[in-house]
Amino acid sequence: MNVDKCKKSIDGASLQMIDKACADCVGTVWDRFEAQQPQCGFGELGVCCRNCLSGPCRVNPFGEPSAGICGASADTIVARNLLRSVAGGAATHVDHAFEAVEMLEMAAEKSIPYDIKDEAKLRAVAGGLGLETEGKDKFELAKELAKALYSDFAPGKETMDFLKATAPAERVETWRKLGILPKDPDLEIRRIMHETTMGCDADPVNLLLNTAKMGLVDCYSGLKLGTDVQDIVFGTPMPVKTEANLGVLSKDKVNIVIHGHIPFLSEKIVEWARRLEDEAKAAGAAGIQLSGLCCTGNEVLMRQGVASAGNYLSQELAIVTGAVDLMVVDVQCIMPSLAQVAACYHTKLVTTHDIGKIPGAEHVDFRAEHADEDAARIVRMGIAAYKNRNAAKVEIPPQKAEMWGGFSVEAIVTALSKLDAENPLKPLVDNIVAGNVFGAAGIVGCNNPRFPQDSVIVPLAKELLKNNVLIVVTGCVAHALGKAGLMCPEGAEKYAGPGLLAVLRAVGEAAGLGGPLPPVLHMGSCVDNSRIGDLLGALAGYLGVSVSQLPVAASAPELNHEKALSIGTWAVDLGLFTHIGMAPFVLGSPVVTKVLTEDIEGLVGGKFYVEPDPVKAAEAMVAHIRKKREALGI
Amino acid sequence: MKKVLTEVSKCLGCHSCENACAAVHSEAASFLGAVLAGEKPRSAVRVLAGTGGAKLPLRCQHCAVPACVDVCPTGAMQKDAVTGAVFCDAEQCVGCLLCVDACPFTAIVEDGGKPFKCDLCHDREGGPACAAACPTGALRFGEAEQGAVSAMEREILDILKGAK
Repeated sequence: MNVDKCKKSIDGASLQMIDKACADCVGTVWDRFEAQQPQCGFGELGVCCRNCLSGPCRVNPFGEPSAGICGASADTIVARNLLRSVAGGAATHVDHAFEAVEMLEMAAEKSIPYDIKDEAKLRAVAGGLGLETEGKDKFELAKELAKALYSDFAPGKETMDFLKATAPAERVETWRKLGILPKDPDLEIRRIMHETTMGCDADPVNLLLNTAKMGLVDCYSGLKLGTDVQDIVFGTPMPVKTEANLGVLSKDKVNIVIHGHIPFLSEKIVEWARRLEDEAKAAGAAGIQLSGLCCTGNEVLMRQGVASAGNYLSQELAIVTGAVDLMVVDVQCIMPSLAQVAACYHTKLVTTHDIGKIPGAEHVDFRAEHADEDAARIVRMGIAAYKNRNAAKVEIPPQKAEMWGGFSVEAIVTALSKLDAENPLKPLVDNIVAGNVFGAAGIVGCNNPRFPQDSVIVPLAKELLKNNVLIVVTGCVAHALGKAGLMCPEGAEKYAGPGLLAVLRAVGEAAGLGGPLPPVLHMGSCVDNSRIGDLLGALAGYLGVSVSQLPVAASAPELNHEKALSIGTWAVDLGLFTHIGMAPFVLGSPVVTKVLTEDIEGLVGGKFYVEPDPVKAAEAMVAHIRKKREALGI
Repeated sequence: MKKVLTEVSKCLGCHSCENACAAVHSEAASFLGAVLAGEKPRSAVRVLAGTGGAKLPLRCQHCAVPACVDVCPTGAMQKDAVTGAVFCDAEQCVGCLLCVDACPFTAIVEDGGKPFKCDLCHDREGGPACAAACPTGALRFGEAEQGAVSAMEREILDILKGAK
């Protein structure tokens, strides 16, 4: 295929594997992207509706027809489609978090082979919800906590208790006044499916307000709930050093790649890979090399130091190395094409989740109750597959970079407390006030083949660091910046502006890291965007201001999944200036476009800003931070 | 004479023209009929991605001075004096495919050893199916501009050359 290589990726390891895929006659995402060109402009504009059987209808942006058969205008159709997408994103996180609560309950009942690892966080979260924590052992308290968290899924409350307990009070009040506090997540997701069906809501503004509400469902019954419960069960991440890029794959070891989003099985895979090292050696391998992709990769990177093989657009390329013996997947962002790519090599592709099956893959019906047996079986499948590896087909790119992870809020506060034990946030705030740290940016989200892999993410981050903006990351952005060498102490020396570098050195040395703190802090998976929210909430609380007044900005440079839309909506709800590298499918409606990029700022303080050029986006984010600094008088 | 006029800036790349063309040229002569029968009818119009995000519905322009007619050694490729449609008489065609190379719009393709191109839906009520299916008016059946190469044709050639 003829898409220029430079249009595919800026990552040398990816480019090498794209060439290998071509030589091996293996089709990849870029070939399919090219085959889809040009993509339908009605879909791109969001003016195509197929919500009823009179349709499909589409509105002509150049004239007639100006409405669907039912009479829905472009504004209505665009707003309805957006709301369905945002609800799709929220549903993934709510479902994920619900599974986490089920795990917590089963672990508390000791009916599954999982511990309750972070008792302090258990007590903090339970206490925050008003549960009596004194005099109870961790299992008893965890059982009560699970029950309390389940109650957020039941009807009868004004809003979720977990939202009221964890969101900044000023924000809760703002959302209440706007009438966008969600009742319970299942009701809200059900209701928007109803609302957006034929013949219901035609008011774009009402649809957009409910979109804003769905952002709150996403965070407070999804992201935040998932993170906190997973920390309780698996432990809260602390700084850990690892490596990133396809070069982490080993020529001599059994390579098992973990891909997807939910850490329940992957935690056990890590445990069993360590326990079955001898079986791998007996099979002639030097051991077992684990690596991760996407957010399951981030989960085990954050808590277990497992290396990163790459992000979304690297998933097929990992298999193209010919060195991956087994790839085990759960849910979300898993390309169905993996089965075809794996079939070109010896790689065993294993699906494990009820709602994540792929024709051509082997399915292992993973259950927490027999997690040990399932994980051991999968690792042994990898060892067996190693024996089929064809050395002639193996080519592992040399690229790998040192990458640090594990920067939970707890870890950041611990590091800062070495400078001021009484008031850990004070050194950070003092340096923001002094201007050494100009501000902070959260860069999150996906890869998207519309952009060369990482080509917006990396220059944007470098530009912000030059301007002394501290960066926190999650998701596929973390893998991108890890691969690019921005997430290690050396990255600070190389890319941070002088003011920021001095602060990173001071914190790094005080925390005993043996060098500066990385300038880009890995806060985890997509659900761990809640950690960024927690950090902002803590800073706003310390300063006694609203989150929307902080000198910070958010960005999803290469957004792709519906999850990015729901997370972005929550970021705007929180009051953040939220950069996105492309417009979602809304440009067919001038009303929706204007509300999202202008009017919503007057309601919640945040708004969307669209800019595909990384340098221009960085300028706009810096200008926004400057405006917020001036408003605070700093 | 009337022909299918192309207004590139109005094309949203929905591929409706491709589907409509393939459908009317299928055995079943309908889109769903062809899908259900498992037919793979060809479309004489293809929507291409131009540079700078342009979407280009590319088809035979039934040129005033057709290069394909000039190059044809047997006289199979002809321009109808009345309708202005450029068409290939299958009985005279020897399958040399010189027309495929000659067309500046790359609008003639090889199909089973013979040239395959737009026939302007010569016997279709309501005119060419592609224009009838176009939801934005990027393709429209109307009176053609006079001259050897119209401004519209020049625009398409520019996009094809990547000049735009």
